[in-house]
Amino acid sequence: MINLDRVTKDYPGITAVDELTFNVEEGEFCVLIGPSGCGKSTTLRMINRLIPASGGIITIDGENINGYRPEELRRRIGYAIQSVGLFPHMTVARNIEVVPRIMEWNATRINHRIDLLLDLLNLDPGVYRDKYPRQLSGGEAQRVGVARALAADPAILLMDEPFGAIDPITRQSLQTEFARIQKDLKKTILFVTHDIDEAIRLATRIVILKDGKLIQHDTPENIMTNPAGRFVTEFIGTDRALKRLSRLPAGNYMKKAPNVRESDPLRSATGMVAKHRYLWVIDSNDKVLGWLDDDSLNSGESTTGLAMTTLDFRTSAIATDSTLKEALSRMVQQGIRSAPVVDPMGVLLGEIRLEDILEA
Amino acid sequence: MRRLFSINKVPFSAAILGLAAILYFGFVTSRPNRIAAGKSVFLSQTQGDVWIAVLILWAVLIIICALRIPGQWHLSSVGIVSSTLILLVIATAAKHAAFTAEAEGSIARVSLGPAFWITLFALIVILTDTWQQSGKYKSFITLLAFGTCGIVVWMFVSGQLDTLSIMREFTNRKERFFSEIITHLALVGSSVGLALTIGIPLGLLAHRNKRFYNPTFFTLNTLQTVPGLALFGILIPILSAITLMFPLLTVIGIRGIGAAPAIIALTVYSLLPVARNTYTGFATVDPAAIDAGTGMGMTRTQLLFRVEIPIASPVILNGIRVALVQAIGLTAVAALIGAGGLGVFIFQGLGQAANDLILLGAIPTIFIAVVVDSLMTGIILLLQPKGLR
Repeated sequence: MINLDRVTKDYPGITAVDELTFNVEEGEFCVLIGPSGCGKSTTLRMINRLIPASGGIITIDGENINGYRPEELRRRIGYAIQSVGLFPHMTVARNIEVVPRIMEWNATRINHRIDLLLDLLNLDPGVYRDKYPRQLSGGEAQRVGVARALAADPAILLMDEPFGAIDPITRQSLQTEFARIQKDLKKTILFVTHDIDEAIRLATRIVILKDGKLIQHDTPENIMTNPAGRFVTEFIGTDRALKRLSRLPAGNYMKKAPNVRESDPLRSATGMVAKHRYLWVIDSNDKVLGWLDDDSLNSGESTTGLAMTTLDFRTSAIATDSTLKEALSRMVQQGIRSAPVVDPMGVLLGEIRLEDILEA
Repeated sequence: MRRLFSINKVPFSAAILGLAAILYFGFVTSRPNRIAAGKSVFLSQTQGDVWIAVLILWAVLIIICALRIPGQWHLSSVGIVSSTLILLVIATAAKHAAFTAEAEGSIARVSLGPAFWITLFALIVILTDTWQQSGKYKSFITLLAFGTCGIVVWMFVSGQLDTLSIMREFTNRKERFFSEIITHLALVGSSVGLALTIGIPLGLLAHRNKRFYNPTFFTLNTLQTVPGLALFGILIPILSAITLMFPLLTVIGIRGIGAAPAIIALTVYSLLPVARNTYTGFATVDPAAIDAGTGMGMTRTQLLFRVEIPIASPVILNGIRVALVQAIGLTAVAALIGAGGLGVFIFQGLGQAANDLILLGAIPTIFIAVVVDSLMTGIILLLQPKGLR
């Protein structure tokens, strides 16, 4: 657990961080966010003593960080930065093993650790171990940077806009992967960003800073529903309702989906279409094939299979682990008021309706 | 349609230059004695018949430089013809000297003339250019060049060149020659060594603390612009005055003239390339790498030895290379203040108007500089970290 108690950083003529007090609980993913110059990076760098604090107390697991030699403190804390800072004359493997070597791990343990971390970050060790940093793309370099930060298996990770310099598409996939990794690793993470979408996507708690002062410290949900004043409202942006949807898993809002089998006679569907306005059509393996509505009943076709409007579950259905934001985007894109929820094989599990999203 | 003619520009121009030199300048200079006025002897007037071979091959060289011959054969033939010509040109001069010595006695001198030097220069340019163009035949051309050098050394050792004036000067001063080479190398070694122990920390200091940057490099840049001769001159009265105040210094060999002022001046000149490249080398290290390293828990010393020095070392070594080559040349001037070295022959030769004695000092100086330069270049390539290549 990281604890900041009235932590202050004064520079000549300016107070960069002003009596900042907050906790990061064990296993928590805390995102520090605010406009540039709000003191978020300074705060982060005071925790591993890259910058000395002018006042206040920082403790880690109850112990004052000034009680250690700075190097010893830092070896227990992973550190990843926007510009990555890989050592250009060392291979990927040599970059990752820097801290374990300083801590005198034996060679076997180091090698296992390198392979494990590269696998974890989706980099094939056989391919990447012996590459040099100049041979890596921006996204790959940052993965190595994160692997290096995790090298000595620290309980705490400090990350300073680690995905900030990466193109938007790679950034999203890195965020998703990192969220998955964190689910398993349960590190205590303090993460600095100026990207509110990134904060909402990743954080379990968000600390909003302005001019070195804490403005709001809460879960992303609470910050979006109860923003503390105009600054936070403006900072979240006008689409905060949409942003909130990105926190809600589609699976939680799924309803039972009315359906018929492709092999069922068309007549048997008439009553149900009258009741539900539409029916999902599935095959004998429960895989969704299309839907029936009044128009299809009146089309003059003789069987359910011929009468239905077909759909491709890969483009028109929603996976259980996607968010309501993604579900909404898919419905708007396809022009439908209701979308089937399927497993990866296309098996119909339920449906999500537009009205449920609006009420969420 | 394929054109028959396609001029290989650099070798062709060099070959034409050589031809012009052969036509307009004397190939060797003949004197009745060591310092008497000389008489130009054109290539076609030289004794012995080697010159005919030179002329014929020179014509062949010009033609193959102008013809479009498929890559491999073209470069190989240019290489073979030019290295053969190097040997023939030297042989022509040696042969003429031998004839002259026989006819006019051992007091008569045969010195190498402008046409000799220009053709030799042109041939070396052609061989170097061929080597650079040779691609996968590089090893063949390299072998050819080394072979040629080997034969020249053999001619030198076996006494074939002994009758040339420059060799006469060498034979008369053999022991002195080798001891001056040692002195020369010792002066270069100690001054560059001193420059390293002062310059590397200076460069590092300027990198670590920007306040030191301006004063350090202002001083070094200014010192670099002082003419060599002037700096040697200034140091004589200064050192004399100091030794007068502290007579004990004379015990360890510090005097107004001799090695002490020479080493000081050479060190001063070597400081700029060493300190400048140390600064630049450390400045090329990405600050993000330092930030990440510090944040991961590396100590200053670990960062210096595991990150900064490996990344900076090729640039620093390059500075040492420049300092060495510069010092080898400047040391020749140090002979003027009694420090010794190959400059001794140059200044003796100037005093006696004996050109060949000047060459006896100048040629080895150039040779040592070229060898040290290529050695250092090789070392830098070998030591360069793979990730930075």
